Amino acid sequence: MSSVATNQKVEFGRVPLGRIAMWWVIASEVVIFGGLITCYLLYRIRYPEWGHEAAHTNTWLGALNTFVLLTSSFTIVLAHAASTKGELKKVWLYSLCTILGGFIFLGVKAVEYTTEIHHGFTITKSVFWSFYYVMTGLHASHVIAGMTAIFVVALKARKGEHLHRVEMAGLYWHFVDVVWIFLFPLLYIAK
Amino acid sequence: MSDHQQQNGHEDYHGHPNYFVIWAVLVVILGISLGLGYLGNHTLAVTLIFALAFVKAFLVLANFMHLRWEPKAVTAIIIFSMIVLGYVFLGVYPDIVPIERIIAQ
Repeated sequence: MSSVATNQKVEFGRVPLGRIAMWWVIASEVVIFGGLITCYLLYRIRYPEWGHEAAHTNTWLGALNTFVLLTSSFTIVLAHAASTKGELKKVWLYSLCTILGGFIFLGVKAVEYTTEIHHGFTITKSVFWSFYYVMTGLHASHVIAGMTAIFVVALKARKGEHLHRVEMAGLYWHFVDVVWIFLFPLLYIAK
Repeated sequence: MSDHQQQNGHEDYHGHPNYFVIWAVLVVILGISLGLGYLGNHTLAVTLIFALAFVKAFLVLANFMHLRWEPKAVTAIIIFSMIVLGYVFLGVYPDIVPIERIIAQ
């Protein structure tokens, strides 16, 4: 299959329906995560002392998870590129690499949660920690959903079926990455 | 559109940039963000770190999500969600920021 690489935008009518639907899903997710982030930012402005609470989050583990998600975004876009060329083995391999990235992310998050809870920073300790667990927990649930979607799509794609779905699953995964790009400085760096 | 594309309902009209270079740039920006954490001026550091977060998000959206090849109507979907988010902001702002502070402003 040859891809039409062009710098010109196409007409809206040529955009596949599935891709438009996925962009609408992403738009709704923007409001969900954006609403939480907006409230969190307003509270941070009102209560600057929350910075002392944020000092207890582990910046290096947060940075490691950012690296993992950026890399998994890289591998899923390679899976998409391979799908356009009909390279089914590469689609399967890159999809599995992405799922592995998701497992590493969740593993690191589990270590963080365990450490924080052992130090007494539970969801009920303060409003900061409520926001922390709700935002990162909601994000982690999206990571699990993305991993599941990629696995289901990859199972079909390795047989050459529904290859266009690799891109749809990839769009969702990239969005999960973009959300983390903003959560990382909000929760780990702004202290 | 080829038969294969028609079978899959898949028309790959966008280009494929050098994804490795984009990934490398993203990792370098992440490194810079971490380095900025050690900057003496805290306000400047946080401002720059958030500016870099927007750059990272833009790079992912434009290249990995191929938004720069999509028609403006697709970008409009995301802008629409940002407008809705603006209403959320206006709705919760008076609840979080004390009314005395709003009047004082």
